[in-house]
Parts: sequence; C-alpha cells; structure tokens
Amino acid sequence: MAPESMVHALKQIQGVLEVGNGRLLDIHPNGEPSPIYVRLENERHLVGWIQEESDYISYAQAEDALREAVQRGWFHPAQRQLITFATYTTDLATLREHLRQNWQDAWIEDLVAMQIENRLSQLAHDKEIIVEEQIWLSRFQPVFRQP
Amino acid sequence: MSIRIDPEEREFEALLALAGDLTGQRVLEVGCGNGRITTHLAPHAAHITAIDPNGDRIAVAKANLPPELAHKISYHPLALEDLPPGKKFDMVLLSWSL
Repeated sequence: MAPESMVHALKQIQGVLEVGNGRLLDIHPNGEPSPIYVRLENERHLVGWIQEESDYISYAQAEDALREAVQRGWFHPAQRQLITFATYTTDLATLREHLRQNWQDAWIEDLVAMQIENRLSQLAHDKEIIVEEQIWLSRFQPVFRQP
Repeated sequence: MSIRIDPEEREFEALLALAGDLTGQRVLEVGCGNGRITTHLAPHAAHITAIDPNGDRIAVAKANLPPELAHKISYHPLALEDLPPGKKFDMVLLSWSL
C-alpha cells in the first residue's frame, strides 16, 4: 500500500468506528529480519534470517502513516507492545510453502537453506526449524471533534 | 511434515489483552488472510467481518472456518476502500495490512 493510501485508510477506519468505546488495533512487524534457528534436542543453532524484498520499507511507512494519523488528530495512541512469537516446522519445504502462502516477498537464501539441511541431517531424535518474528501490537482510540 | 504457528499463543494473548472486553462487540478485521487470527478472536466477539483483497486467501479462510463459528464470522474478498458505506464497528483490527 502506498504511504498516502495508508493515511487515507486510517481516515476511513476512523469513520467506521463507533463513538465511545471504538478502537483500532494494529499489528505489524517491527522491521527487523526474522532469525531462523534449527533446534537439535535442547540446543538451538542460529542458521540465518528470512529475507524480504520490500516489506521492511512498507513497515516503516506504516509507522509513518500511524504517526501522521495521530498528528492530524484522528487517533490517540493508547498502548503499544512488542511481541515475539515463533513458527515451528519439521522441514525446509514446509517452511518455504508457509512463506509462499503467507509472507509476501519473503525467501530463504540458498546458503541458509544449506545450513538448515546440514543441521537437520545431523543425528538427533528431536529436531525442528524455528522462525522468530517480532511484531508491534498497538491500540489507538479514535478522536471525534464536536460539530 | 508439519507446521505450528505460535503454539504458545503469545500473539493472541497479547492481542486479546490489548483489545479489552469484546463481549457483544462487532469487529472489522482488515487483511484477514487465511483467517488465522479471525478464528481465535471470534469466540470472544459478537461478530467479525473479515476482509482481504486476496480472493484465494479468503477461499482458504472459508474452507477452514469451523462450523461452530460460522454464525460469528463473515469473510469477504474486499479491500478496505470497497467496504460498503454506513457500517459501524466497535473495533477495527489491521492484521499486518497497513
């Protein structure tokens, strides 16, 4: 979404919220590359990071759009929290399919893929791939001016 | 071959805490994707209107909709700007969509 479209979207959202207890919740990544680990039994090994084509720029633009919506007096920031959560897969193909379906413009570099396969080929009974994502959760209250 | 996304439910717990009491409330989720967050929120709210401009993702969300939540969620292949005018919501959730 273009930056001006983001600001326009926020104005539209203000218009569909109920006066009183209406609120806007926003979820978006913090913009830092997501680390990939391979866990073998109780040991975690960092093997690389998820690569993204253009999303890191759009995350920054989303931040700017929210800031502008506050500056224009449409919303009041109420609460903000940084959350880390993890996705677990048993193999590289499943992780790649997950990225293809749910994570636009994201990929795993060949060297990182090789490291994942090398780690997974090691003798261990309990092993998996872990991707950690950090997201901002924010709550905004709409501001309605008296006519 | 399997995948588990946030099995510890860190994202949902934080989201619910931030949302506050959703009892009896109407929610608009923008960018619902395959409905992962929608189906977690639905038991707590009166109704969720979930939109996403990607028709393929909406089809997946509809296919994965648990029957017991069917009356609480309506999925639409729509962008925010195409939302019919006049609708009001208690909460709007931008799911990775801004």
